[in-house]
Amino acid sequence: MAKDRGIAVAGGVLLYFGLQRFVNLHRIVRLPGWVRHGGRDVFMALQTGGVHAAQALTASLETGSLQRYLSLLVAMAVCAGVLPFLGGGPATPMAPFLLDEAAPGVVVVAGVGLLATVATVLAHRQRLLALVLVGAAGLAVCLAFVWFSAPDLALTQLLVEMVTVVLILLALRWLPAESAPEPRRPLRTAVHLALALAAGLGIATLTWAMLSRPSVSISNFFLANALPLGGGSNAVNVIIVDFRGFDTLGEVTVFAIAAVVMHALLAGFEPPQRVVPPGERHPLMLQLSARLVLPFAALISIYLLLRGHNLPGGGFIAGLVLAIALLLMQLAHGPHWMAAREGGRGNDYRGWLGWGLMIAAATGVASWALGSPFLTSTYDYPWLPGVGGVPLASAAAFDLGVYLVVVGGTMVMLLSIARLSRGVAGAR
Amino acid sequence: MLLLLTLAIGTLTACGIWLLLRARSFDAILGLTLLSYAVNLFIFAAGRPRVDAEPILSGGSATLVTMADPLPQALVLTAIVIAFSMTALLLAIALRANAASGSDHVDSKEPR
Repeated sequence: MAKDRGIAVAGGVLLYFGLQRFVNLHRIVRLPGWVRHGGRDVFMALQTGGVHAAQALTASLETGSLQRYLSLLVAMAVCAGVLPFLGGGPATPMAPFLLDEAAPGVVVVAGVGLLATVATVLAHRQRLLALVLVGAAGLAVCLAFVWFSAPDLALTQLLVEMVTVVLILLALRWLPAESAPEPRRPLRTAVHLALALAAGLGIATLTWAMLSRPSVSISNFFLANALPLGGGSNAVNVIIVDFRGFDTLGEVTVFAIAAVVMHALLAGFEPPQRVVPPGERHPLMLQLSARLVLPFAALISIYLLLRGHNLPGGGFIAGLVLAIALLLMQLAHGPHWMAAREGGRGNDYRGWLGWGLMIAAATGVASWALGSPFLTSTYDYPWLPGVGGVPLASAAAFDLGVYLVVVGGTMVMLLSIARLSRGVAGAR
Repeated sequence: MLLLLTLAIGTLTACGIWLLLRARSFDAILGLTLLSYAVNLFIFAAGRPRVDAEPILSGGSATLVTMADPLPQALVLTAIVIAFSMTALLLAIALRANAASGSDHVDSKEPR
């Protein structure tokens, strides 16, 4: 404070003598009418002006419209992305956009995906159609993962796609079937179009700039150590449950929290009734096939969980497989039928979340007991009589936790939306 | 081939942001889904996608010369699941907001 005052006084003295050299300040007697008390009036005028300008700026930005905030956000993101490239750009030039040889199948899949994406935008007001088109785009993404050597990603994408479509279909029942037409605001539409195109073009350029340069990756470490340190030959799964296990623990926690929040949001909620066309609620053929599918799906799910460390699979994928089979049962029989057969616990999967998180965290804590840092994993090949050497990694217990959280979370989410239909469809 | 990937990421981003800016709950959810495809593919592309190079080790020394980069794959795998949970959460919020305000516009009132 004392320093600030010193600067102010010194500045004032300098200003006084500086101006005095050009004008005789003591001779100025006629001032503009609004300046009655000298410098104080000037200061107040500046301050009021500043406050008014700030208020006007805030009012123009903060309109209470999320739509407007979002467009500002996108605009800022695009600007922030472009800014570093204005000062000279990247050191090495980008490779020219050339069509290198692509297999005809790849071109077809990419074409279908692109068409579906654009068609989603064109048809977005008809929601059911738009949902189907998004699903098509998702499948194209899934096939891209297959083609580019990522079997784990392809499996995950495919399964998540199924669950998402069912979830959105269930929710669509309580939302308007069509988006209301937009008011004609040509300027706003043009701004949105420009923003979307700028973002798309920017990301595409960035992607190409990235792809046309050599990669500097730390992954040689993961590839070299997945077997000796992690004891698994599926490098992706070893990274998920072992090398980056802490990350995964955080992610399943987020997943569990999202499920619980969704349950809380919809638990006491009664949607306004919509007229639902009468029809066969639970078709017999679906019931019979769902009952046939469930045991096999459970078998495959456990198989995927067990082999995940060495081959494509793992907790996330296996959990989704079981969740989809359970979901099929729910759709075929209705929640009441299921609840009656689940030992009076009433179709409640929240416990799975707790157990899953606990098991995952416990594997982490267990390594403390052995004097290692949190989530250190170990593995062994114990010899079982009659079975032989069995690969057993402590990361498998962690993966079991992930598995339980994924099954539980997915089911909690689906049932919290499916519950809304109880008054209409599930009543028996 | 990589040009097609680039094109796909750009198109998904543009369409996703356009749908988000429509500001209807359902359109925004579809937009976010498309945008998450784009972001996942982008992160995946950072590992320089390769054909026939699954990172499944089979003894011997494995390096990035012979195999796809497993790290972006691991990151994207969990991102897919997280994106799903966010979609689900947004659906729940959309249902409540639609019932509470009678409009599925994100501003809870029909635009003028």
